[in-house]
Amino acid sequence: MADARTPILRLANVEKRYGDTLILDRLSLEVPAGQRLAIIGPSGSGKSTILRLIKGLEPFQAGAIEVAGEPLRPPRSASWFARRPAARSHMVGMVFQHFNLFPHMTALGNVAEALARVLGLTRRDAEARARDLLAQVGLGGKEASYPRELSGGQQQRVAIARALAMRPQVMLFDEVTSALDPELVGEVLGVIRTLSRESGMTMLLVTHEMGFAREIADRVLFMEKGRIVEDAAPSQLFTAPQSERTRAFLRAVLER
Amino acid sequence: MSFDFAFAWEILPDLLRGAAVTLEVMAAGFLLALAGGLALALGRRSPQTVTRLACAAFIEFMRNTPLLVQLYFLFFVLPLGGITLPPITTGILALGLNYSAFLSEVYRSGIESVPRGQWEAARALDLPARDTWRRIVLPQAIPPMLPVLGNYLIGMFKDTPLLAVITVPEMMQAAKGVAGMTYRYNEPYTLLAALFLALSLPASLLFRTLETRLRG
Repeated sequence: MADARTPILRLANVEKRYGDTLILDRLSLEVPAGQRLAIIGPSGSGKSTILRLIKGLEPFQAGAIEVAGEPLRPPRSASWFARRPAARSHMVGMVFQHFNLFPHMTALGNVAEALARVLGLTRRDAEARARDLLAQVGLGGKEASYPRELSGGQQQRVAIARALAMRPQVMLFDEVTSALDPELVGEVLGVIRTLSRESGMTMLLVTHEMGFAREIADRVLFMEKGRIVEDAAPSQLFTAPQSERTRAFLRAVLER
Repeated sequence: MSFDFAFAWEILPDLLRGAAVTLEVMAAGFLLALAGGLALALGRRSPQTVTRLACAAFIEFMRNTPLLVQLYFLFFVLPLGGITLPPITTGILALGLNYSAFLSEVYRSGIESVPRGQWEAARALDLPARDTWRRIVLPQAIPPMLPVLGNYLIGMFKDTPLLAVITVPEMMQAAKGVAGMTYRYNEPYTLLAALFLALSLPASLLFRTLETRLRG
């Protein structure tokens, strides 16, 4: 069982390939409970893949991933049929770049669905809690709207409420503002900021928003080619990066 | 050649009785095909190789042998193995199994049209496989399938006269009966064609309306 010193997430020598392409190169990482970890790096560096493996969305070839001290068995194959989630999977929530809301359900239905089906709440209780969660992300009054009737920012906030509904201890944010129009980024970041201030949730954020990463994170990883190049506090990594690669990346991103 | 309306009117009840049987066979056969097609489509995605192969083999067999041969097989060969079914049941079974193979392909394309992100979202919420199919995937896969399902329904309707060869008293059989007894062919077969048209045209129109409605 997990004691206070057990990291809530542990990746040990995780290797992930697509065919011949190496995506994660024997990557090891420990995340203590409550930490806000930002992962930055060029596209194709494997940063989103880390999140996808932790949530069990994809198999990996070698190494081990533990959630609160329990090993996560990778999904057996690419088939989605009759697959069972790992024991600790429910501790991990995920928000996607493209929201992935269920288009045939209202905002309320999207949030209430897993409350009813997975946590076993009655429809009524599930909807009451979903209503609270929508209010929490500033979407009170939008319960009956379908995803297509909402802006990108609103959709992403529904997706955050949907993930929060399962009361995860770890939240994975996978480039959650990358698909948004610039003027909608702020409202989504605002929700995450509030969440990080008011909950003790562990957060992993894969992001291109350097200012936000610096503001919100306790720790920043810079990744390239499936490896962690630099792992430091934001004040260190953004102002005095040790690696030449990190410096080059930050220069390119910040001067844009 | 003349068309005797009085005679046509006289034999209409016989043909309508046949039409009732046709509709009954078609309704039951199509329901069977809808259920069987879904089962086959799911079976082809099973993690068990045996299930996958068995479903694929069944589908290929059904799609590549004539319905008439399948009918004869069920009607004449099964009783040799001790399984004797009434003609109507045999007809429903043959139509249902045959069409389930075609409908499984329709389901397959419907299922494949659901974006991968939907599966991932369901997985991220730890929805069980059953709920993922029932609540997330199928409700999105089925609406775009409706126009194609409509075509298959009408296709099945037009295949029902084949059941006459195994003595199912459907419309074709009824028309043949009248013709055989009276040696008059014009009225029963004209009436038969008119009845087919009268029944399938509204169905075509219904599905076309449904299609425009879904696309709009």
